[in-house]
Amino acid sequence: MANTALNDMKGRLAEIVADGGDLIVVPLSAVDADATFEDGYADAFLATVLGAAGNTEQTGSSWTRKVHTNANITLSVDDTNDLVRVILDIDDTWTAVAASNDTVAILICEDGASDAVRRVIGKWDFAVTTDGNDVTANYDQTNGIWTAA
Amino acid sequence: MADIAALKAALDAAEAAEEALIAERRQNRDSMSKAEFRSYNQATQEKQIELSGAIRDAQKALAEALNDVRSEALNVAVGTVSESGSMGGTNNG
Repeated sequence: MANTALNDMKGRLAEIVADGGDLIVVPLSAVDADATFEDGYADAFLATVLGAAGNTEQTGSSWTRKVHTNANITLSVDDTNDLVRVILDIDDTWTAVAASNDTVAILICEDGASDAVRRVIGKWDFAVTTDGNDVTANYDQTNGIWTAA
Repeated sequence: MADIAALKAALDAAEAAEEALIAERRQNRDSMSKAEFRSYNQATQEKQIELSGAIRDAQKALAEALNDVRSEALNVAVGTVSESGSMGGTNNG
């Protein structure tokens, strides 16, 4: 598996953040193969993506969705490398996640009023075998979660 | 020994405060024009950072208090999607 985006959503993340959008992180216990995911579903909305048989949200133990409000997301133009980066400024921590509540990936989506309007951007590898300890997603503070050129 | 119940209550309160802001933002995103929402977002930047910082501080305090009863936490690096040749290269915000 790889970090990758829905083809339909490529190129849109920077604009969503620039327009004041928030992002929501959704842990998954199962995810479709890269090619299936990239080709997309009937639409890019979270309800549809999670409705696919291959994608399962992990809600066991203390797993929850995490919202990153706009002020905690950095949109950084890198003129040296001629690209724009999207950086999640704050790591996410899930406290004392009980064993047998593993994850394989996270989805990052544009937040909205419900899953019917939240658009999925992409998926990032997040393979965790839980054992009762805290789990922290360490977001890259240099390269960001996303670059577009 | 730190009062773990009090630290957990502080974390819950911090998370509830941010949840309220997120709910307000969702409502405003639906009801405001794009320009209005941009202005609203700019006006609430400090509050967003303050609330996230409060959660982070409360999580850290709770984690430190629990450190003597649990072993090392799992830290998982999240990578980068690199996209080229798309409209995403233009920050037209």
